[in-house]
Amino acid sequence: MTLEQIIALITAVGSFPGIPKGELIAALAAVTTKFIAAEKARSGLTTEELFEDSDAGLLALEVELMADQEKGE
Amino acid sequence: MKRQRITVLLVLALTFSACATKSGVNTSPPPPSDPIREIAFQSNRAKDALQALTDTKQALLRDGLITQAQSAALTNNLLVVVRILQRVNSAAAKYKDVSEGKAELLSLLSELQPALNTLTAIVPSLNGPAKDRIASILSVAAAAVAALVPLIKGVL
Repeated sequence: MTLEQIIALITAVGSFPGIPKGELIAALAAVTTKFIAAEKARSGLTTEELFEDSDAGLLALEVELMADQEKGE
Repeated sequence: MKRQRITVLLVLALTFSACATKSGVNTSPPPPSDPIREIAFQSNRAKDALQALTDTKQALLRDGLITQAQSAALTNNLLVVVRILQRVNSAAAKYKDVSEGKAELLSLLSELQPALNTLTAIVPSLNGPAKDRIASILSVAAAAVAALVPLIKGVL
């Protein structure tokens, strides 16, 4: 079974009557999709690209957190 | 009800199984033949977890699930962790072999782990749903940082 099929299964199960659908299953499907996409993207990068991606991401994150800090959040 | 629970548990098991091996996607770190690449990989994974943590913190504050003071505490500590991770990343990127930068990387690691522990120490003060969400994402960052330890110390 491929990941895509499993995500489809989760989504389908979430729509069955009587199954505790909604947030748990939807969130699980979303997180799984995001997780796999990130891991897949990471695996395709060279070492240099990984460092560059981290640098850029961490710099952007620092700026975002500093903005939150200024707002007292 | 029992059948529903079994179905949900089955789906959860299949999902995690798929994440691990079945999808054809490599969810494990690269082979240990290149520790610098592994450091780059784990550092990148930690970066993504810190971004997710920041997004979640902002959403929780918007939804009123954490207070402004709790959000500010998370922000301050996240900023410390992010800045140390930037230094780890820059330091590791300079070297082709971990042994060349071992002293510098070990020193940075000795700052990173306590900073992450300080961030983790905020979690118990959060309420139920917020605590669970922050704790689960934080565990991904902590696992990535923990994976750096043997990579750096392994060349002793």
